[in-house]
This record gives sequence, structure tokens and C-alpha cells, in this order.
Amino acid sequence: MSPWRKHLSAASFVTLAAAACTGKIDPAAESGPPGQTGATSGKNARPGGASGASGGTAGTSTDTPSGGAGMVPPVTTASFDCKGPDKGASPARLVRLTPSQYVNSVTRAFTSKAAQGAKPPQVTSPLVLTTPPDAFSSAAKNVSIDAVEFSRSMDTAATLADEAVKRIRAGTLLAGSCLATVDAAGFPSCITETVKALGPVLLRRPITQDEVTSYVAAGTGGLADLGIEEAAAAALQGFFLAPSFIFRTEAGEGPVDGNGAKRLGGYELASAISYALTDGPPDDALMKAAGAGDLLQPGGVRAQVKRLIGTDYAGAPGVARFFRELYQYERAKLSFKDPATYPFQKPDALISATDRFVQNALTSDAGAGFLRKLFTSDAAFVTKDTAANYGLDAASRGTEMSLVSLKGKHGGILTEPSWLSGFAKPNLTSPVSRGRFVRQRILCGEVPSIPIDQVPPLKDLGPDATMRDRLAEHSKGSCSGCHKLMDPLGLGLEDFDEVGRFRTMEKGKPVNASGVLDSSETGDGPFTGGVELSARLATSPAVERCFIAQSFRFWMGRFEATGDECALAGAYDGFKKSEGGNYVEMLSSLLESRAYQYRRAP
Amino acid sequence: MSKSSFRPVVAYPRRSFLERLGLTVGATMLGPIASRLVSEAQGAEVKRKRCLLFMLASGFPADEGNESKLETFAPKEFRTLKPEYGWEAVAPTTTYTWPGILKNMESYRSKSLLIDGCSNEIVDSQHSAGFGALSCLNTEGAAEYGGGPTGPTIDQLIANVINPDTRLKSALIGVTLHGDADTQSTCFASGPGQRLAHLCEAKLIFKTLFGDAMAGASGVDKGKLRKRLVLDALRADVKRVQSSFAGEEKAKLDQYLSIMEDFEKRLSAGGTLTCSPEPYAMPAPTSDDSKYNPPAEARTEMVFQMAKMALICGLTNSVSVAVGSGYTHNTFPNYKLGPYPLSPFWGRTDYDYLDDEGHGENYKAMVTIHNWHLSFVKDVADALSKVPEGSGTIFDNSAIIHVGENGEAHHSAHIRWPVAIYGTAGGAIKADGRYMRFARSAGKLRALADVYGTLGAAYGIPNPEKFGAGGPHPLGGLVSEMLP
Repeated sequence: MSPWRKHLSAASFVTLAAAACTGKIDPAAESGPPGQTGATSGKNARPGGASGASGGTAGTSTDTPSGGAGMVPPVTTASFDCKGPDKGASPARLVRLTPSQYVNSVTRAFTSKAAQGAKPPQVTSPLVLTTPPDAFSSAAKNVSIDAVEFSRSMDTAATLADEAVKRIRAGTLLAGSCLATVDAAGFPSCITETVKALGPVLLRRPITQDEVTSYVAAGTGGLADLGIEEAAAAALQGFFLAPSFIFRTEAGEGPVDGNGAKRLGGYELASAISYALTDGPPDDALMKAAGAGDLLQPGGVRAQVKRLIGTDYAGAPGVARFFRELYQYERAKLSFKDPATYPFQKPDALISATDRFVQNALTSDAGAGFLRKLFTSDAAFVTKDTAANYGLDAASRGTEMSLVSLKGKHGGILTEPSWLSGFAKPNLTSPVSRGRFVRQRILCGEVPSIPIDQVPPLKDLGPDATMRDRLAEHSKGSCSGCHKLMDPLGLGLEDFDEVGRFRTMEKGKPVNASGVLDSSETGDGPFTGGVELSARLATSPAVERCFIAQSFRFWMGRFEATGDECALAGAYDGFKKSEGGNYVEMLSSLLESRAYQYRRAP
Repeated sequence: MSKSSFRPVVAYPRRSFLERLGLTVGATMLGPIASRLVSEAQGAEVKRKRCLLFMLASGFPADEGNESKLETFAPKEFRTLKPEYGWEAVAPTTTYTWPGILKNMESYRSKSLLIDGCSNEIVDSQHSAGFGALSCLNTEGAAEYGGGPTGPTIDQLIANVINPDTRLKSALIGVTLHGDADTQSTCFASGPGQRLAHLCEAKLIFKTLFGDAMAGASGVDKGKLRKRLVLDALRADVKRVQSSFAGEEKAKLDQYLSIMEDFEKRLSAGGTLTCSPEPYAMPAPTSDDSKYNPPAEARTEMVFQMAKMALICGLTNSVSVAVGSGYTHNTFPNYKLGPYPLSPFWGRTDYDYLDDEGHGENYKAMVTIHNWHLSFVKDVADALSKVPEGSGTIFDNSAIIHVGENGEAHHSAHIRWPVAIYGTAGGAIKADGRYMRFARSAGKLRALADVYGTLGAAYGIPNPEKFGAGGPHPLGGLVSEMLP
């Protein structure tokens, strides 16, 4: 038995032997959208115990929040069972900036108060995003820097340092700096002053004397050979490569408490909140709050969260990013559609429409009941570029989004054309991948990973066969063990085609969109169509718990684990402050939790 | 079919493009060899092995059926009636018709080994297998979305053992067909979670591979001095931050330090290329353009030129070239390959190069595309064959490994991965013109990992028989037919 198979046997896939799902289904019949296997997950079937030349495991399941498939912690009522005082804490960690965060950090350095309002330089991030597709981009695990990124970061840092020196000497950065007129004799003290002035902006915290010494040495050491300008640039260049610039540190400060944890310092917390919500470094108000210790006071974080979110979430793009990553509707861009058949298909426009749909759910009625709206709203935000997907006439539409009520033909995010297009094949629907998504992302259920062996292709039933006809084989024999977890959910969305259009006919026959929901606790049983499925999900306690768990994973950058029950329970309480969900209260509660603010001492 | 028939009509200013990169036509391969290579040629036997891995996206068509006249990997004598239902083994033989998909490498037939029929059923993806193509392990998520590697890729294990003294451990370069990304991190890895980006932008490749070596030869090199000062400052800073962390988090900074050290080593080694200055002169690009991305055809030619020079100049002994890899719909829309502007094609079965009418236009397109790239591979092989080394040539100490980034088709089930090997790597691989095939039937599957492991054995990697352990297939041990 291979180590991989041993791993499966030992892990959660205890039903493997009984179900004996023998492999992938025929991809031509039902392969799901790009990057997803049809019937099986596999991507979380992490090889274990490998040794020698092949390397080993891919890490544990508790540190790469995926929000999705496979071997993730089960979400149950016990996950929310907070007994006694909260002792939660996260591991101390280094969180590397994402590409956009790198750019935003550079931009801030060149547009801060010290920059006299000058325009920032154009910069491309030398860092690339390296989190897996199902993982949230906030995942902290295993992301360091590779050789190419380092080499490019060195070049980018040189360019930025040169630009900074140029601006300082021109008076558009650090106005009045000694660097504008300094001579060789005065250089050591001048570069020290410059490093002390710019360091805190770039490191998002006060600079230490050791750091001043190191970076000043880079300047003074090169003065004789490089001259004043380039020596000054050498001193500043290191900041753009520094671990405290490229990473956010979450080590904790101060004494270790009785639970073996340290609370994040004010500046660590400011950065954590700011990069999470705004995708950039702390603004002046947040830095001031950090410096004054306000963030560590009761209500301090909540006040900043509410300030940054505002009334329309415009200042908190991180929230939009969470919904995009959780519901994966950006996959519309990756599921290719034949332009001859679907000339109207414009993925970017569809994604924008869903962004607006989400924002509407979050902001209407001051955000009360957002989750229910997310699964039931019949509001569609339509332009001429998306009208066809919503079954509307494009000719009468403009480029501005208009709100259209599509009662009975639209109900929640699972009926948004972006999501439906993304979870479909180029020219066919994909009930298996749609069902798998609902099972894993919405219900936090498990779809087993299975071993690969020889796979019998589905029978060719001819061109008139419906998707339901083609998948009928899945309900038989060994395949049913896995497919019963996906197909009954996905087939219930068959009243929406591969580009998200509501339909009543398929292959000349009335469409059969009957499905069966289980594990929702309150809405289990047969249903018909995507709108009904969504309505059932909207009131499901299991869906609520799953959503909160997914939120935890995104905002914490890790999976929940033992000890996080109180953080989850607190978030649940915040969520329940409005019928159908209160997002701001839930998020504030998460960011105020010990799990978010405390780090285990190494 | 002649080589020229596979070349596109040149629709880009090839000469000016290469000159902008400092790769003038006369500077490529036919000039005097490096002094070090000359001395080696006159001296003792050289044991430095080279490895060029060429990986092409969008499938490696293996077999369309025994009635077909389409030229795929399976020689016409061994085509299978319905390959999607399995095939029988073929014992190693030199009696076969050279496969049409390899037409441009036919002149290397006597130094080739064609291996067909092994599986690498990476369950993540039906398109690009990403890191799984070269690691034989499942990735953490599909590579086209950034899935991570779960183990090292074979090229890196080989690079570990054949580059003890070169300036670069390996050169990872390629062509992206998705936008104008400078780099891509979807194919190569040094270990679990340790991606290695390959370079895709022309000037970046040139600068990274040859830039430092071309720096000023006299006086103070200000660029290097400045980098050293920065590295000194960073080193102290990294160690300070590191003291607050343990375990995996500390390891992130260990990696940071390790990369810094490697970077410094490269700085020190700058200027030690073994190529003589003339006519290998490679002035750095002079254009002020921040990026220079000509059409994909031109970039492909440039990439192989770089690969050729990197090997001959002794920059590294390991070069890997990935074309179009790492994404879902890797087609070649910009390639002006006669009647085959390969657009996204619609799959009917795993063997999906046939359109619904069975015309096989997409098969023909892939055959053309493979051969078009192989014309450049052949250029590299020819060049290596002209440079004496030891008692033979560099090519004699080399192997060129030609693989697909996914299996038998664009919509691949990854059940059949052809591998073509040209060259013996100094006699370590039994590449003598044979074709062989493993069966696909119950109990007879053979893992692609076994083939890679055997290649690794030929290069001397440790524990080659364990390569791919933990992947989707049980390992069957080294492939004895591949070894002398």
C-alpha cells in the first residue's frame, strides 16, 4: 500500500472501502470548471509519509485555510461551544504581503505626510501570490520568498531607494531634509536622521536602534565608492527588502500570560487590522491609535473596524475580497465559453455585478440580515453587458448598473451568472462541481478524496441526453458513495445553464431541476430549482455556522482548532444581533477575540 | 516533412529582437569555444552531465487509433484500436516508424529513447498538472490557480547533483501564453511548498542569467558593492526578527537567509562564464523599455537561445524550459502555424483532439506545435554536438528530456504521458533508438514517477526509486530498460 493510500485510510475517508468510488468520472461528460475535478476532490488528499527523493507532506490541515474541500476541520455545534474563559491564541507568525499589499505599502511610503502630497512612483510587485486556489489569500502558511522574487525585490528596492533619495533631495519627500545639501563629512549624521524619519513609515512601527545602526552602516560603508546619493540610496534600499517590510510580524509583545500567550502590540494589531480590511498599511488614524495604546483598550478595535468599513465598505476592500474568495465567482473568468455560442459572455462584467450584489446585501437595511439576503435576494444588477445572462434584453440597457427584481428566476448568490458560469463547463452545466461547492463551501461538508485507478467512462447516450441522463450512472454501484454528496445538490441547479441563464427547457424537454438537500438541519428534503435550494440554505443553522467558520478562516489566516470555540461563539453572537446575520458585529467580534489578538509564545 | 514546413512564417523582426537582447546571430553557437572547454577538450575525460528539460503545455498526443493517419507519439506499427480503453505493452524495439510528432528530432533517432504508456494520474486537474507533471505528486490545488507543490520536481533533484560548481544551480525559463507575466511559479519546485519561479520576460531572463556576468570587468562595480552593503544590513535584520519565531515561521526566514546567501554567491561568481568574450559578447539590453515582450514565437526562440548559451557557457548544467505551462486553457492563439491557429478545442473524450467530425485538426495542430518547438530543441542539440568536451561533445554528456505538461490530451485524464529522451547523459541512459511502451490494463500500470526516478538514477540523485512516493501511483521501481 502506498503511503498516500495509507494516509487516506487513516484519515477521514473511512467510508472509502465501503463506497469504493473508483476514480474520476469521465471528464468529457462532467468535469466541472477549470481546475476542478469532476467527482473527486483530491487536492486535499495530501500525500503523507513520503520520504527520500520525493519529499514529504504538504503540511497539516489546520494551517492552510481553504474554506473548501477535503480534509478541513468539521464545523459542528461543538466548534462553537465556549466553556469557561476564553484561552484562545493563534501561533506567532510572519505573514508575507500579497502583491497588492506590497504596492499599497510602497505607495503609502511615498504619499504619507512626509511625502508632501507627491504622486507615488509606479511600481510592480516583485512578490507573487502563492496561496493555493482554494486557500484564502490571507493564509499565512509556508509563504516566504523565492530566489526570483528576492532578485526582483532587490532590483525594485534599488529603484525605489533611488527615487526616494531623488525626491528627498528635491524637497518632495521629507521636506527640509539635510540630505538635500549634505557633504561627505555630514553624511553619517544626516543619513541617520533620514533613516529615523523614513523607517517608521516603511516598517509600520517605530524603528529600533539596532535597525538604525544596520541601515545607516549600509550608507556609510559605501560613501567613499558610491558617493552621497547612491550611498544614501543603499541605506534606504534595505527597508524595501526588510523582513519587517515584506512580512507582517505577529509575534506578540509584553509578558506571557497564564495561557502561554502574548498579546499583539499596538502596531502589530494596527497592521493586522489594516492589511486585512484595507489591503494596505495603517493610515495615520490607525497609527495614532496604535501609538496611544487605544487599540488595546476595550472597544478600540471595534471603533477602528467600523471607521474603516464606513457605511458602504468602500474603505474595506478586504471584505469584498473575502466574499470573492469564499464564493469563488471570479472563476467566471476561467471557465471558457465558446464565443460563437455565447457572444454576450463578459466575465468581468458578471463579476462586477456579483460584487454589487454582495455589497447590496451588506449595506441595505444597514447590513441587517445580510446572509439571508445573500441567499435569497432577487435583486440583479444589470448592464447591457450582463443582461443576456440574466435573461433580459441588452438593447434597453446601458453601461450603468440598474437594479432589476427577478422574482422566481433569481435568488441569491448561487443564482448569480458569474458563479454559475464559473462552475460549469465551457458548453455544459456542471452539477457535480456545483454540488460539491455547496456541500463543501456552504455546508462545510466533506467530499471524500479518492484513489485513482482505472475509470470507466460514462456511456455515450447521444446528443439528446440531458445532463441528468448522463449523470444517472453516478447513482449506481460504487460511484454513488461519493456522488450522492454532490449530484443531488448540483442537479437541483439545472434550471440555470452554463452561463447562468434561467431555463425551463433542456434539449427540447422540460428541465428537471429536482434535487435533495441534506445536512441543513432545517430545510432537508426534496426541492426544485436553484431559487428554492438557496432559500432553504438561507435559514439553515448549518449554513450560518459554516459561514462563520469560513469567516474565521479568512480573517485569522488559518483553520479553526481546539481553543477557538470562544472566538467562534463570540462571532456567532455578533452574527445573531440581526435576524439573518449582522456582518459588522460578527467581524468586530472576530477581530476583538483572543484568537485574533494573542499569539502563543514560541 | 521538412523542418522548414514546421516553421511559421516569421512575423516578427527576429534579428532585431535577438540583437536587443545581445544575442546576435554570430554570437550564438558557431564561434570559438570557451577556454575552459578547450582545455577540457585537450585534457582528461570530463564527467559533467547536462540536462535540458523541455515541457510543453496542452497535451502530448500519444495515440489516436490504429486506423488513423494522424502522426502522434505511437509509431504506426503500434497504434491501438481504441486507446481510451487501454493498450498493450511493447517491448523495447528499434524497428518502428519514427513518430510524426517528433519529426524534427529524427536525426537524433539513434541516440533517443521513446517511452510510452506510463501514467501520472494527478487528480487535481484535467488540464495543466502544474507541479504534478514533474513531481508526480498531487498539488495543493490546481496549478492554474496557484496550487502549491507537495514535493520537489525531478529537474531540481537532478540539478542538485550535477551543478556543484556552476554559477546557477539551474536555469528555469519559459514562455507564458497568458498575458505578459514576467515570471510564473507553476511548474518547478525544490520541495514541499517550495515553488521555483521560471522566468518568462526577455530582458529579465537575460539579466538574471547573464547580467551579472556581463558587468564591468574593471574598477569598482558599484552595483555589486551596493548590493553587498544592503545584504549586510538585511542579514542582521533578518536574524533579529528570526529570534521572535520558531518552527515553520522561523523556517521562512531560514529560507530568506538561504536565498540571500545564494544571491551573494552569484554576485561573487559573476564574470566566471566559461564562454570567451568574443564572439559570445552579450551586451546588456540597452533599451529603456521596462519590459520587452515580443510575440510568443519570438520569445520561444529567445528562450531556447538562452538555454543553449547557458549550457554551453557553463552557467549551469541544468536548464528547464516550460512553454505555456501552468494554466487551464493553454492554447497557442498567437502562433501563426500555417492552417493551425490552435484555438480552444472542445473535448469529447480524454482523447479530445478529434473534433466532432473526426477531422483531427487539433491533433494536427498539436503535432505541428510540438515539432515547431522541437526545431529549437534540435538547434540546441546540434549546438551541443558541436562543442568538444572530453573525448566527445557536450551533447554526449547531455540528455534532453521532452515531456508534456499534461498527459495524452488537452483535456487530459493524465493516464498516458509520453516521454522522449535524446542523448545518453554520458552513457548513463540507454538511449539507442528504442521505442517501448507500458501496458494500461489491470495491474500493469507503470508510473511516470518510475521513469523520472530512473532518469534521476542516471544522474546520480539519492533514493531515485522513491521519487514520486506518496503520489497517486504505487511505484514499480526503476525502469531497467532505461539503464545500460
